[in-house]
Amino acid sequence: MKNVIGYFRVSTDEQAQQGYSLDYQEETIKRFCDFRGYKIADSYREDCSGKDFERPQWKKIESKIKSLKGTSDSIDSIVILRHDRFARNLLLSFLEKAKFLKLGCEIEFVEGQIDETNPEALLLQAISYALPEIENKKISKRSKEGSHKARLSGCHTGIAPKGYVNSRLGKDSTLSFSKDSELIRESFEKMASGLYSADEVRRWLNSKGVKLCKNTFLNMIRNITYTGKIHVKPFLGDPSQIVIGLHPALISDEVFATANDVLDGRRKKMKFHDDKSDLYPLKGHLICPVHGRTLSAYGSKGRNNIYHYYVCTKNKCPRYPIDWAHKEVERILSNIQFSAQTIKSYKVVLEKLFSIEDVERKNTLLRIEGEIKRLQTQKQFIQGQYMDGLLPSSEYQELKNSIDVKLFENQRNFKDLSEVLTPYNEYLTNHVPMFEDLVSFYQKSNGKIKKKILSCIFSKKLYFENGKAAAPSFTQPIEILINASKVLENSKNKKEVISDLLFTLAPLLDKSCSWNSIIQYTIIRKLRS
Amino acid sequence: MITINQLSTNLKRDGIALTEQELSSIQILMVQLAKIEYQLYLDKKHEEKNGKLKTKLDIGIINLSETNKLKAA
Repeated sequence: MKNVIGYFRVSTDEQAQQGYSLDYQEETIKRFCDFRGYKIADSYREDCSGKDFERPQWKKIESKIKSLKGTSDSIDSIVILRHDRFARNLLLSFLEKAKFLKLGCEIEFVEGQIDETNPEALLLQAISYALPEIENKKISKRSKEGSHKARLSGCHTGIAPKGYVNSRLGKDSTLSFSKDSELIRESFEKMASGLYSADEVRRWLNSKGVKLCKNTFLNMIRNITYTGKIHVKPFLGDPSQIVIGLHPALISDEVFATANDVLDGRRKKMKFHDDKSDLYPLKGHLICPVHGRTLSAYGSKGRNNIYHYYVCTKNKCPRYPIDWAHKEVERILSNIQFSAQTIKSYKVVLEKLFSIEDVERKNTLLRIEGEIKRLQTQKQFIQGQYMDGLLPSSEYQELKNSIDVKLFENQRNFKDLSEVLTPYNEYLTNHVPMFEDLVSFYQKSNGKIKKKILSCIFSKKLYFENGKAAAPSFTQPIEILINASKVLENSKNKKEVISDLLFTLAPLLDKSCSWNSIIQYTIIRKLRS
Repeated sequence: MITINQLSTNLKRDGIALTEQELSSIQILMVQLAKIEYQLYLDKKHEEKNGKLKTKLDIGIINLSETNKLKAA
């Protein structure tokens, strides 16, 4: 009794078109084996194309036959319904058959059996194996022709791209928007903006639930179908062409072209928002003492963190940690003190600038003031009329009351509005003006403001020497104000020295001094204060 | 702003006597720095306004058009 394996194969299209269902194949093979007296050791169902033998179930059969070879359960043949179920490739069919014959296993067909003892059987075999291949090629050619014709008339063939679903327009196959279409449109616009890399947009799309791998996303951006067009591939001498499709466009031609330009690197990604002045406010204000070059700044990646430095672009120059450099500059700024009257003058300038914000309130106040004056004149006039007896008492009272009500309302509004804090006063309640505390103001400012302040204060670039910032050169007005405040400080000190003459008479505090002398000294201090 | 005379009078109260040229340079510096401080105030004010606008957008009081949505994104 022959030990056999039943093999049933369909490819989805064939099954639908010709009705070679797996059940039909299995039933026929079973009856055939019963008739011949074969023992079906195992059976395998395959849903794969017959163009080659890269099929999962076929591989399993091969490994099983190899493993059982030489044993009592060895497989004698594989039973298949007909030649086209075996393969649709002439050359590969012969090769595969020869491979299995070496393993001691024949390929047997239910339909179209050939007596292989006859030498002419080879020809019949070749015809049997060639016919499915010819049939396959015919089908392929017909479907390609149909697809080409359909695409030329604007139909979409094949699987719908993301953002679309396959649909029908009468008899024509086309596309319509899917629920993801809005997200796909946004991803094209994001690409076209040039602010995001392709992978950033892809990850954004993934986060929204449209899962795409890197390659698929790139192919999507390059797919012209999204502009409402169809790409027709070259076919039988016809060149490749782009036709207007029957489906609606998801994006405009401009967005598509810009997104592709960005993808190809033809459009530069301008990172205007990438401003590092907050991180490196001293960049452009420091100079290398050796080479005289302006210091640059960079971040050095350490094991756990990024460490930032100001550095000379020439080699072998020391680099300065940004925190240390910032503290040094703040130290210099903390030495700049202004006199009380300088601060007062600065506040006058500041108040003037803030008054721009207060124009509306001031205009309203002027209008109300004018109204009050007008009402007061009216009141005086009716009083004069009444005194001269030109106005009866009742009318005078009526007019007077009316004017008094209006006057009261206006005076109340004037008072309320006058008591409102001006923008300048409101600012002063929450902030200390720059001249009062330069360092605090500098510390609180952003990088751009810091740069502006430094340009106003220092006339030359700063540099570091012997582990600290070298004496800076200030701008002329700052130099004048610093010198003036120093002179002022010295003159104050002189006055203090004169008034402390009595203080100098006190005994020196040293280890030898007695408790009596300490008490005397304390009393003198108290008296002086 | 502040006149040279006003500045001179104020500084003399501190015992600082300066030439007109020196006073002029100080006046320019004060205006420059005051403008910086005022600009900072304006920027913060606008930031607050924008922040309020963004909150309104977040809670959906204002609906942006499609183009503006893209710009905002």
